[in-house]
Amino acid sequence: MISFFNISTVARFESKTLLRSWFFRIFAILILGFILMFNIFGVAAVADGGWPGRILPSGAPYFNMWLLNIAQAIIAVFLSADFLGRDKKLDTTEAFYVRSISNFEYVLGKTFGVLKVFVILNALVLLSALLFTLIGNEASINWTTYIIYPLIISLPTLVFILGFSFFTMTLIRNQAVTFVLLLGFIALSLFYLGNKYLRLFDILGFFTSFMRSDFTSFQDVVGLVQHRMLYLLLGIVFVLATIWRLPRLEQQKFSRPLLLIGMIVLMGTSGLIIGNMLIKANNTDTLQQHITELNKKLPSSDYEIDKYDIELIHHPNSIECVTKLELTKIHNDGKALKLVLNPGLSITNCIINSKQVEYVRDAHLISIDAKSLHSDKFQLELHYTGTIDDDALYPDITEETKMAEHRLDPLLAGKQYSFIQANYLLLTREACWYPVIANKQYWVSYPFIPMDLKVTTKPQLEVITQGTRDSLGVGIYQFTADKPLNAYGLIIGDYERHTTHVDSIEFNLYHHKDHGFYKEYFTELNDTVPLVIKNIKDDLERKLGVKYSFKRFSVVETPINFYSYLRNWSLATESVMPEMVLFPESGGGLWQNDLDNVRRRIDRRTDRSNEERSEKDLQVEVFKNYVGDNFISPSRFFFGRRQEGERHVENWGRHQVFPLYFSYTNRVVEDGYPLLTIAMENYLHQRMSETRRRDLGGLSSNDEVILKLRNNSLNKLIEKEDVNTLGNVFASKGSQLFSNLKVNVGQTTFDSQLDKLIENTRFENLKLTDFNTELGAISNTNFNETYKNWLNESFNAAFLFSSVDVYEVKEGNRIRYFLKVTVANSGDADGIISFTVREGMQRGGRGRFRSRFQMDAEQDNQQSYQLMAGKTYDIGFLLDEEPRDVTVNTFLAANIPSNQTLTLNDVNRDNKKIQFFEGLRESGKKMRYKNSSEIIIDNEDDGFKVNNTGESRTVKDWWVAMQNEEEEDETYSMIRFWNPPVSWKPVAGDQFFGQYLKSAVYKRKGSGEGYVSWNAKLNTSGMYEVYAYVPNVTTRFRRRRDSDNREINYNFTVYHDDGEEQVKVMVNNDNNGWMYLGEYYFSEGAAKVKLSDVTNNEYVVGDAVKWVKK
Amino acid sequence: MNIQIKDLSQIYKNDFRALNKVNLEINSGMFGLLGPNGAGKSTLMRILVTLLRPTHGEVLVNGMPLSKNRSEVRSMLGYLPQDFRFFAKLRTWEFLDYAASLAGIKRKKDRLAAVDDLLEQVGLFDVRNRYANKLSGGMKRRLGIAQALIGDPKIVIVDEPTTGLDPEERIRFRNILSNLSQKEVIIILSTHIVGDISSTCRQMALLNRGQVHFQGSPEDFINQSSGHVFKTNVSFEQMKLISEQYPVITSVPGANGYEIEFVANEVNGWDTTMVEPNLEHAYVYFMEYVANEKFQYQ
Repeated sequence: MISFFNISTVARFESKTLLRSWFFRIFAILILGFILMFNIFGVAAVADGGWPGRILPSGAPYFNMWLLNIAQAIIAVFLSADFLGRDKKLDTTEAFYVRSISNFEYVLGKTFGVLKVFVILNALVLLSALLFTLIGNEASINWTTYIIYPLIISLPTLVFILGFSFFTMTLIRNQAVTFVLLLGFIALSLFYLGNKYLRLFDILGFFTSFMRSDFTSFQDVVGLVQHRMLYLLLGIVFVLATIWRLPRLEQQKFSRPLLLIGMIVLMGTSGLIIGNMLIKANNTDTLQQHITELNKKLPSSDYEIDKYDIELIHHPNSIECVTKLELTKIHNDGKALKLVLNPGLSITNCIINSKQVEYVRDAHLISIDAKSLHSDKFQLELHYTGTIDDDALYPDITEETKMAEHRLDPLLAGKQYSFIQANYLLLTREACWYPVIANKQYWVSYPFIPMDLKVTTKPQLEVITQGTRDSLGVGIYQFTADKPLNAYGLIIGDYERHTTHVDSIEFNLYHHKDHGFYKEYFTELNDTVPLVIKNIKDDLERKLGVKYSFKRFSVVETPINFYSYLRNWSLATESVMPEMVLFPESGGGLWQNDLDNVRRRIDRRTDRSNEERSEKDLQVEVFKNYVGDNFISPSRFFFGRRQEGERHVENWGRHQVFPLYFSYTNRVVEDGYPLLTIAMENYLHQRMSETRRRDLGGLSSNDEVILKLRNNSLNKLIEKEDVNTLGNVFASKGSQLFSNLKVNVGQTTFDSQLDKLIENTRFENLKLTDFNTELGAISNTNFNETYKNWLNESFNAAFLFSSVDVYEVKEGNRIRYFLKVTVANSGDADGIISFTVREGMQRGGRGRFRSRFQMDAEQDNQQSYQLMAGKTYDIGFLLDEEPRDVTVNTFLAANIPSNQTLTLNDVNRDNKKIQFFEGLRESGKKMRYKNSSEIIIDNEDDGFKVNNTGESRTVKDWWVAMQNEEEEDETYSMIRFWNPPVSWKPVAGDQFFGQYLKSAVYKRKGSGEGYVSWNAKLNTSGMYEVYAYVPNVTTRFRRRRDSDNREINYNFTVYHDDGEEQVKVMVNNDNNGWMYLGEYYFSEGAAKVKLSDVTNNEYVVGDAVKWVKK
Repeated sequence: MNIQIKDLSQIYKNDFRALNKVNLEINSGMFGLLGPNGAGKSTLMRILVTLLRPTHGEVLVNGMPLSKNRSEVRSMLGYLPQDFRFFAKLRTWEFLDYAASLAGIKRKKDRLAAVDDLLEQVGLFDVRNRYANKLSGGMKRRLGIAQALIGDPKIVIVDEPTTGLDPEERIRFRNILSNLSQKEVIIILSTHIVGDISSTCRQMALLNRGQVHFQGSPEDFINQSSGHVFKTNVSFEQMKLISEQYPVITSVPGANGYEIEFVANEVNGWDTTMVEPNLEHAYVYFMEYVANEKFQYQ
């Protein structure tokens, strides 16, 4: 018999001694202090910069537990290693070992004793989370999470770590080694194993989503509990194993066999859970592969759906649908009618023209034999019921992307694509909840089809979908199609609704009844809301050039665990459906949705500028910021790399309304990849974004595309590479195409015509040939030809630019500024360039989380020109103010960087009589990269060599080298001032020298063993002046100090006929570029200049050397 | 109460025979286990308190085999280990409370009464709130005996309890034990200090090199050496000579030399007087003559 008295006795004294141990006290105080600080400043937001995740449902308890769990895992390791160690060290233990208590009771008591202490710690932490959430009074409190989180986050981790440490301790019996081993294991699980292997090593719950939605609770509760229980069970197994290994004679005869049985049973259960997880993962994989295979084989369909008429009944855990489709047979090739429907929905009846017919189901496909039909028009009635199988969704998204966490800094939300629950339902197009024609690549471009939808659900629930709503009865609604749409979403939930009308468009806000935290920030706004919305809308439409064409616009709060993926072929994700934006619950923990912060920022700015603004004005600004940063032009300060193939929509940009102006309103029916649609979408989208300069050097996505497109046509690339990685290529090629189209008719005309075309073909399935004809007419080009070349040609333009001459000129009585720049296209194809000239002084400040959404955005003076291959042009601008800078975009020409700032010469104020002009003039002059008397060796040339020996002298060097290796795939990095590489690395940027590719190499300072050399072949002997190009690279992030302009020395060695000459060149911000190294005699043949990595700077840059014949 | 030890052998992994076919019978009262360091006393104790499984042989407690009835035996046991110095961070009374709980006193009230009672008995009541680590060596020992006695054990086993104690502490300690021996309890006291046994035990055994050399009452043990203890006066020069010949037990320096006591089987050439032996004499005699003759060359 197990004596609970014994267990509790041991536990009582164990926890008593633990609580008295200084190690535990110090650790506990540290972690409690840290968490308390976080709760005070982060959760209650008493000062500036509250944590935005505090508004998330259960965000505070989740984050508290998450933090504590890491800390307590580490404490537990130390404590438990101490556990048996202490027993061994304390001779008094033997006095207790001879008492009548079983080993089981003893070890269990000890374990409970430790657990008890941690329970206290957990309780304190949760209490502080609760307290400060109450103080902050922004988020609604969900009491159950305060019970569930410690049970599913804390407990399994603790028991596992304790059991594991106990057991390891009995095996190794050396505390130090055990510590290292256990902490190493935790680190390994955290930093390496992470979410790999079905997250089986995610002991700390670092890669598991515990986010609880107020709408739908946890994602996959069963899976979550199973996964966490696994650690609990294994922890118990380890505890039993510790009992097995306890150095004390067992008390009862059968205790060891019983222990063994216990361990086997628990391990068996764990094995079953793991097996279950494996099977599930395998099933998902198999299903996804099967769907992908089936999709690959899809031919173009003979059928078209003309209209949907759907009746949907929302049951607690399923839906039941009767769908009537009006179909047309457009070809008669004898193909079966293939439809796509989520495999979780099972068909109960299939009727064509009131006659029941046979069908074959294979994963998501339904094949119906409709060959025998005589008429072209027919009606199909499908009855189906069931739920949505999320595993069948997004088969084109890679496993890796799917495995990536849905992180909300730093909490994890789930990734659920659809919801069918008793009180909530969310279905988007991707869920395939209504049948679509299984056409070749049907998922990249859906046809516009009208849908009438009748929904039956619980009376108290709100139903949100497209179309005009009529209430047919209690909980029964009819939605009638206003327009044919290419996507239908359906959301049912217990929502609070707010409505207003602007420009006869109905604006709705649907949010959870407990999520009214935003209201206090907009108390004065009531009547103003429509006006502000109208302002924002007008402003956006002015920029975009096209008008909103739905009757409604709804922002619908959706469960935090809802997730959608970005696709290459569209800027629309499932987070935007026609007429609606699915907004993440409580703002998704994003900085821009932290209204408290937004308001404080605005208040501060107002204070600083000493403005007097009314509360209403301030609230309007908060509102504009909120709307702008979420729906118009989302952006956030962000360190890190863009994700491959994601085009312009970054993760936080998926709620922008842009798709409602194009992706969900216009469609060109293309065979295969929707390249033109992408091009057009991208062209429109660029109108909203300001061109931003990249100050850090390195390659823009466009530059990467140029490298990719070297000697490749678009078609070839699509053939060669995975289209999923070509998002940027499509985008860049798209904007190049449209830039070409503008040339003949001018930007304004082209744009207004294009806008008209877009608006006139709304909700139409526009045929490619029609579109091409229209576009040809608009652009006054043979568009079919242009399009073909665009697809198939790999020729490039390549531009050479002079510096920009600026003259002060007199026009009438006005003083104006004339800019002149000479440009040559020395490539093998005509090309487009676009100049942006900024005048006057710079306006606006910088700020880390400053909203980029500014109503009075500075208008840049932008002008595009087409330059023929082999020709040289002078380009003139006339400005009212002195120019600040001139940047030029060369699109997909050979120039890298494609966006470069030209050198502005000093203003010439003496020659007011100069002949000024605006626009393009062909010039007879020839522009050359170099003089005939010059020999230039650039770092891109063959004569340039790098020597990398002598690296990795210190551990730091080695570490840096390791870090660099990770980035090896990046061809041209940007300069890392704070951590230069150990070996020479290429960098690109307009401050470097180069014919078309402006690049250099750089390296951290060294001992001289690392160097670069320029090796030229001189044709004639004689005196040469030698120059080296030293670019002006200064860090633009550091504050300017005097020391920033200190002299940097570069150590060159010139090898000439009389030996070698060491030349030390001093460079600073005012003295750089081509630096004179001296005049030397060289015989015909090889000549060499070397640059050592010895310098007084942190890094050294090697770029180009030239020899100029005297 | 009765403990029978039958053919008990303990062979450690390095082939060291700590116990060699030990047979003993122990009845209620105080039992002294005497032997030099390394004789196997502690090993025997550890087997008796179920900390060690013997290689061969069996221990019967009231006729029950120990190896099969650990639970019952443990519930009768109180044990004071040889080293009793390091404690977890507990107060004196908490330490006893812990022991009392494990000894099976479930009601808190009973437990606290027992604790206070024992604290009084061992004279630690004044320091009951002091952490056990902070007690002096003697106090720790007393705490040790207190925890061994709590919960009225039927078998109390104390291993070398008086080592390192000052005489006053030692006497106090003996008194606590002898008070206990009035009850129907077996107290096994292992020691290499002869005085501990002579003053308290009715039964004793002598253990040497893993074997029992004697079992019986202390009087019988002393009788064995009767006629073998001598007293004489020697000059300073003779002292060296005689101490090479015989084990000298006491030597009191005088004006002309020493007055010494020594043990011997027979004395030749010295002017000696016979002395009535005490336990210490007997122990030395036994170790020097009997044990060596009997077992030395086995």
